Amino acid sequence: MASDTRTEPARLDREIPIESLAGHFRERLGAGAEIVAATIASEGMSDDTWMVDVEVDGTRHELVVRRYRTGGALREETDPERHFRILAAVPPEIAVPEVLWYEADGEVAGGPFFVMRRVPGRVVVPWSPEGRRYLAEAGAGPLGEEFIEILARIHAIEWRGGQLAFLADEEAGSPDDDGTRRVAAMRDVVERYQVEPEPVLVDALNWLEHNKPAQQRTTVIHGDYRSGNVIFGEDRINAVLDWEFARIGDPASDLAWLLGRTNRMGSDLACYMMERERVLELYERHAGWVPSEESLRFWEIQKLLFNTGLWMSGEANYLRGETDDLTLVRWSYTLPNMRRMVLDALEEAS
Amino acid sequence: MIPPERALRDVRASLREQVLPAVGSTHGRTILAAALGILDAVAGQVERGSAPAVATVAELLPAARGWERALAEAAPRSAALVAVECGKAEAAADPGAAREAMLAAAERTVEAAWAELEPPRRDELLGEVRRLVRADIERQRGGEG
Repeated sequence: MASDTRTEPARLDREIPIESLAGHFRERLGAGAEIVAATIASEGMSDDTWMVDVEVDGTRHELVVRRYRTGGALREETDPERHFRILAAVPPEIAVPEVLWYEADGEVAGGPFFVMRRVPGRVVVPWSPEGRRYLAEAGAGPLGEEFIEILARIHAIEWRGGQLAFLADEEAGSPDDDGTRRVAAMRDVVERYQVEPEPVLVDALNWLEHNKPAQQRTTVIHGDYRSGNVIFGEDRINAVLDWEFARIGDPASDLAWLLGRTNRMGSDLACYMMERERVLELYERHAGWVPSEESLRFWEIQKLLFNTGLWMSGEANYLRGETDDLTLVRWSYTLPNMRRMVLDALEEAS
Repeated sequence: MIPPERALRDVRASLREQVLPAVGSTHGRTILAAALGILDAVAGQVERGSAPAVATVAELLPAARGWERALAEAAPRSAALVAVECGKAEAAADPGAAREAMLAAAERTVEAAWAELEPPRRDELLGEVRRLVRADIERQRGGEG
């Protein structure tokens, strides 16, 4: 479903803690601040997006609240304050929502959150029939090219000495050896959230350890670059969203994710937008290089494993009583599908 | 008494056709859609009963005895762990517990194959484990396996 709710909240959704949030906005924006509209735009596996319109002394502010729930999927890996910090540090050549402030106090909205200014446009649910139609059409035209060109620009950000440099030193090891870092992180995720034996995932972890490609570049990585994480305007992409998995590392991982099977379920089009060949051709045109096939294969399996880890963490957090969120329970029943996709990728690669 | 398969089917149909269209709240619709997805999955499991687990154990147990032999020389400790899992599967009264022991045997075999064996022996062993684990996954998804 193509969603336009990011531009026009029209009511007060009762599930949003309006009173508590209104008090918070009065503290931040002044005693005259009043919430005049608030709707839930999306409910993700670890966080929710609320569209909130606030009037202050006759001026309307169209805002977005990104609230992180306790016990959501991979909550340990999705630090909201870090996400806020990244958004604030992305250089102006990449359009992102302007972040205003971060609130760590979970009492205000049922979890920590940050507030952004709303960006007009359309956020597409890629796997819905309407979303697929829209994306196939967009992908064939200039929006498709811009989608890939923006990724090339993200990978060209001069991070050394810049505000995003902190991303390079968050983990042990070197960002020039991103494969080693990510495999270690995935082994940790599998061990932490495993609730039953996982022969496929253990197989995949070992395959990754034995098939690490030479890293061709070290750049800013978005970490979840796909057609559902941008805001489409009429004739341009207005913003890139969801930077919570950003890091410094191997840019082939972004391309492998964009091209990967979880982002083209039942479709030949990468991100439901365009053929693999066109993605690689456009990337090469705008970035001046293209990752090796061996590298793309490695990162596709790593990203599949990461995705499976998301599902596993939701299941584990539910079983441990850290959440009662039924959407996470629902995903746990699709774990066999994820394991099969990992197995398919492993067998194709072997 | 109404058979659980039929009760589940009717609950799902009523929720989907009568309740879902009447829910105005965004959050309520999200939760109800998730609940319907869970009921779909659970209904499939109720209908299939323990048959998938029984079939997996019947396939994996003799295979795992073979993995134990294949690892005996190069990875005796892992071979012993596989044998322990086989023993657990044989002793388990519950097919679900027996299946879990077999998946643990598969996991230990995979870990040992990558750590201790070289191609082509490693690839042969991994190929067989993958084939049988895939059959189990298909059964979990509701297929024949």
